[in-house]
Amino acid sequence: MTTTVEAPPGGAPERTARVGSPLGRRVLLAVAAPLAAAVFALLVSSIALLASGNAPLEVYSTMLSDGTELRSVLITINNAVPLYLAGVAVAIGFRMALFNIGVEGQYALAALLAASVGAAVDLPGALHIGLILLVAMAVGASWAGVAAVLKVTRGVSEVISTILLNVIAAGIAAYLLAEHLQERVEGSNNSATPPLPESARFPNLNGLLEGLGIQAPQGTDLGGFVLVAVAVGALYWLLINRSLLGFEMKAVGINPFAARASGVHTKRTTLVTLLLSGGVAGLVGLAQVLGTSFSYGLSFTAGLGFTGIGVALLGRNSPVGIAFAAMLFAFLERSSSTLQFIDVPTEIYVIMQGSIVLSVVVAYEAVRRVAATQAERTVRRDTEGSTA
Amino acid sequence: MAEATPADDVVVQLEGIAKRFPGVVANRDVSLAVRRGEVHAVVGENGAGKSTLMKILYGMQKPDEGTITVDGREVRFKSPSDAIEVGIGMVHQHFMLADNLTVLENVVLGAEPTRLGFLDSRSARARIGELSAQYGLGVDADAVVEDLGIGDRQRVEILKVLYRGARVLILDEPTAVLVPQEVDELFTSLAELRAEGVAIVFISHKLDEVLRVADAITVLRGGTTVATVSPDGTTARELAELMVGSELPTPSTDASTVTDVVELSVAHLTVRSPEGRPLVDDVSLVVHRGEVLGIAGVEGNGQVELVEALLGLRSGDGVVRLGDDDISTWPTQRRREGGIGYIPEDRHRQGLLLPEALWENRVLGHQTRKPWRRGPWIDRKAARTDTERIVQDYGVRTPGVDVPAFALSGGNQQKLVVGREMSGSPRLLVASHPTRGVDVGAQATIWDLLRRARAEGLAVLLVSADLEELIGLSDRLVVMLRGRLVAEMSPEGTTPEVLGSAMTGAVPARPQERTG
Amino acid sequence: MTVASGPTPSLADPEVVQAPNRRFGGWQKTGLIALGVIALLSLTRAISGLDELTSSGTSGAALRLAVPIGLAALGGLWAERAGIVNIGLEGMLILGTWFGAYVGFEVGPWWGVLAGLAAGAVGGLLHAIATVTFGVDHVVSGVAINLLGAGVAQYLSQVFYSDGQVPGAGPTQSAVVSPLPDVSLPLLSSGPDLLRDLEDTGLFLLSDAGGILGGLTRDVSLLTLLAVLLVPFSFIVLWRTSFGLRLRSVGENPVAADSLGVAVYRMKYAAVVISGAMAGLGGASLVIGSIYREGQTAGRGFIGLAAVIFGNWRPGGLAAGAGLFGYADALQLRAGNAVRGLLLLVALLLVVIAIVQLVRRRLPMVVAALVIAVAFGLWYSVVDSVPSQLVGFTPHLVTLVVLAAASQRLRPPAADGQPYRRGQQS
Repeated sequence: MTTTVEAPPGGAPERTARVGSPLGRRVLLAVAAPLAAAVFALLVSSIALLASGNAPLEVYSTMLSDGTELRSVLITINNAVPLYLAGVAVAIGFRMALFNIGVEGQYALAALLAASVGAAVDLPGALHIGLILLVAMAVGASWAGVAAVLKVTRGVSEVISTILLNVIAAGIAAYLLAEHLQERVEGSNNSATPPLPESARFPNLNGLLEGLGIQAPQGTDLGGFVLVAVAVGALYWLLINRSLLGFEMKAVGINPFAARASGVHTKRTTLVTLLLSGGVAGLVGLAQVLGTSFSYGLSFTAGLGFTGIGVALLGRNSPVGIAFAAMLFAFLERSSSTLQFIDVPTEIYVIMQGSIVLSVVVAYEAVRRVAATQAERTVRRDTEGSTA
Repeated sequence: MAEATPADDVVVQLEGIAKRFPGVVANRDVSLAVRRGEVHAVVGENGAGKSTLMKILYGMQKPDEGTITVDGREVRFKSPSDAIEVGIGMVHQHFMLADNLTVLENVVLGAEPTRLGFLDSRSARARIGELSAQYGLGVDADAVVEDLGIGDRQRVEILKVLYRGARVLILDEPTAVLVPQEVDELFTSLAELRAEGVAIVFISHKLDEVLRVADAITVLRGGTTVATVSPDGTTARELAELMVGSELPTPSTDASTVTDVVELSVAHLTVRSPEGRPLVDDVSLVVHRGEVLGIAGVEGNGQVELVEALLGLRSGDGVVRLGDDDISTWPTQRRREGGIGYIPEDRHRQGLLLPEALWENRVLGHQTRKPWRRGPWIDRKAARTDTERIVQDYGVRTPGVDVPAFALSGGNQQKLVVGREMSGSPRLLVASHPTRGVDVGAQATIWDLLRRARAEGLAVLLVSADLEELIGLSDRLVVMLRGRLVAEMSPEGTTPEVLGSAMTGAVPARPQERTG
Repeated sequence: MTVASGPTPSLADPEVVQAPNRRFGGWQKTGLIALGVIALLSLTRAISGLDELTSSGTSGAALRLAVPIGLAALGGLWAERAGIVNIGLEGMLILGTWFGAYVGFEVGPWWGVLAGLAAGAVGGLLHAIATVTFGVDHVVSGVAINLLGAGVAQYLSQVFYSDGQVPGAGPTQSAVVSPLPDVSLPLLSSGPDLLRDLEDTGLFLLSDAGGILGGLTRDVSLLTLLAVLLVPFSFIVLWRTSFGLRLRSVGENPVAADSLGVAVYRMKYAAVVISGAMAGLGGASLVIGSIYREGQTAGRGFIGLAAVIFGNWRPGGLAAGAGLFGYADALQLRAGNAVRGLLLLVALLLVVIAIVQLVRRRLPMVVAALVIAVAFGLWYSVVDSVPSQLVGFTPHLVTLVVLAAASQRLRPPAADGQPYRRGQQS
């Protein structure tokens, strides 16, 4: 007596001829999702604009024309850099199905401490910058490490712990800044760390631009930190595509049971992943510290951590995708700043960002379900009937 | 056959039921008559058609042919609600209870008594108390389910269907999760139910229990009813033979490749459930180089837990040795690196990353090994080359190694897994249902590969429910029942009677023989 | 499930074995704890001389500040009891503030309340569509809604307020909304105001009780009253009605609920929309009698979630959590130097815990508690004031500690955070 299936009449169908089409369909679906999301987002923003008495087409064309001016492009790139780093930090966690919502707090603490250390020492240029980078990464990693340890030893969800740690980090940063680390400037409301000496300032890339025949407009530089972003992106690519650790991270994120059965140490991998994520998060604020403000103060840019989550989602955790997403978000923000001149609220870009993220995740999920149903159908065809 | 009883005593009658799925006939000309106040057991091996038949009776499936008659009237069920309405209630093998809610809340959910919109817990509690007393169930309505033992939880499930007016109870493998004492308690409850005129359909493969509690036994084999007998007029051995069939497949006649070098040695392995119940109970066995040890047994008797314990996925007491090394405390990765290959029972769950490419799935489980592992990096090229070799050698039908795993058919997925696990010269292969869900051609290929590897010295621990596979491949057979090894035999010398009885507990468990 | 899906967070690790839960209530137990708290506070005041710890001004402010947190927490409760994690509470709060302020000014304060509630409910509907119908990961959808909510508020402020038509309004704030009427207890907190007299006596325990109770019952806004009543209301609906039972079952074991005929998807939708409505109400509570200001929610949506966890997913517990957070907030705002009194309070609390552990014969815990008590006591005596920035995150720190220490005793709904699809076997 057997439990195996009698072969269906005619023998098993030849599978090679048909495997191609599910693959092609998959590619199509992968492209369809962001497209559908973009259309939906445009729809939502258009409705918002119409509801407030503005002409969507006029708004979009203004944004496009202003946003593609050289000055705007440079500013967009500069603003995209921290968003990219935040996106990569979040994406490292996503790889393993972990949510690092704490990028916000990690980069605040990292920027504060790195700026303070940087202002307190004096080293030759490259070393000085290197030290600041190191401090920032170490601080970011350590703060993420708190959440990691809590998760691995006590089973505390990193979603809640990183959110709580954000607030705690903000409080600690504010305290340290106010009580210990700030340098009071006469007649100024802003309290900040002492400014970094020249050796610690990241050089800009205007020279590179000139070499390409582009003259940077007065007052706007191409920040040099974009090189760091590119380097981080390259390392991230190496991590997920070529490294053993990246493979194990991915395995746990996709199928923790198979990962365990394959010998992956899930707890260790969780710890390392969150530390890496925090380390990259630490760099998020440095574009500003090393490139524009040369200090950390009360008016330091906040909110990059949350926007970074949107960037990572939009970019589907891929190094190139996140770059596009960061550029898109920065472009939207920059190009909408000129809308005030035609009496349109500049905040339309936030609605655009939010609706893009929402529609993208819905679209991706819908696509994933279709793909999964197809796969299940395929699989069921072969295993059907062995249950009775 | 059973003594003649008045026909109007029959509360449920199934006549000529047939059900087909693509590629298989699950039920064929099945007839079943259940009387009031009777415990009617339905027995059969895996794949005999029991669960499909029960789903039809319970309203989850529609029969292709045949009739269902309840209380003399023919009925057609569109969904389980229809079945509940005529008084048929199902107690599932895997309980459907909300742990954080109380017994009362679980029982009344979906059928709550209300007063002005508020839950009328007083009347609910009264009713539950009534039922509990009437049928001797003894359950506290305000206890939180989480605090209850398994036996009590089962009684809550029974209460759920009684509360909704069930007069026919279907119990699906109810003793699978119970310890002997809880089994006694269950049988006492069943006696009370019976005394009140409730009809019980009792699905099981454990013949010793069935003979204890049933008034009538229907045997299913190959999708059809083979016989309906009364427990008085039959012996366990006869029943086992009915279940298993009168002929076993013929074992192979190849020369034996068994050496006397012990590769795997397990001593007094015990794995417990969170509640303390032994899922693997003091198991000891050895596998030699060049030997296939087959573990026979109906599913759910501890085979999964045994396999997982050997792989380091579950903790247990006892000693496991691989060759000369004591690997009892080794983590999974070390065991795999030490030469244990693993073909999991559920390849989707434990064996593959479905959305990922074939070459990545090849690396899975072996990611720390050369030649693709170079320090912290993975050498894609080496991985892809080796995957292509496996595709070639093992006949995996695919256009390339970059195809995602979910695009392959089940048989080809399994061939990839088998090829992966048999590469890299493993010392021991733990194979759990290695040809489940695989087409006949791929199955033959895999068996061939296993034989060849065995001839080269591989030690294999084979767990399977497919008797053809077990008899055809094994050098030695052991039978697992309720977590223990209850019998050992050679494939040539065994008979269906002996094998079937051991697998179904029709004979009392003998102390297991020392092996090796 | 055969194909593993994307990130699926759970709010407490399911592999950790969990201890049995104690049922809500036992009014005696609650009363005893309340008495104990007042006693402890009295003792702290007596030792430190910091009257603000138990003054009516402080407790009144604590109640007011606890309301938005508590409503956000109720929002979190309703959603999670049905198995949906609602990280988007912050966004729904923001929507509640903006629409509450706009309609509240244009039409009237009660209409503002309604508008805030409705706006939050719409946010909840969006979250429900994404998570229930499309199966998007709960946290991801919540984050997106936070972004969207903030964006919508900013945008609408620009549209309606930047042209100066509305008096007092600007691109980041609204016009002032008239407040709702106040109520007080007759005799005790108004008229002869006996509680005030009690407070003024300065006697140990009596004065503190008078202060605390007086503050809680004097000039309480109707909206605050509504918010407070919603706590027992939520308990009654969720634990005493058939609708509530079905809703909770969906968060515990949706497959079982489905098998018994419960409309799982519909329940989840209802729960999340109610959740959004609660958050919207919380937002309205911030603006009625005041203005909408950009950024005024200040993370209260997240604090609300923390309160839910702190309260072990029970209405009474989360109310206590919200009260705690509100109290810390009030103290810090009104009397910054009194915050160091909290250090002493913690020290005394730990002494009490040490005594309890002694009775239970758990010596290591006794030692640990006493050591930390001494540490806090020293800190209290050494320091003049606790820096305000550090006090600000006390509630979060406390929640984190509770999570870390008690994760085994926490009982989130069993299917919390898990995507559900009809017909799939879990």
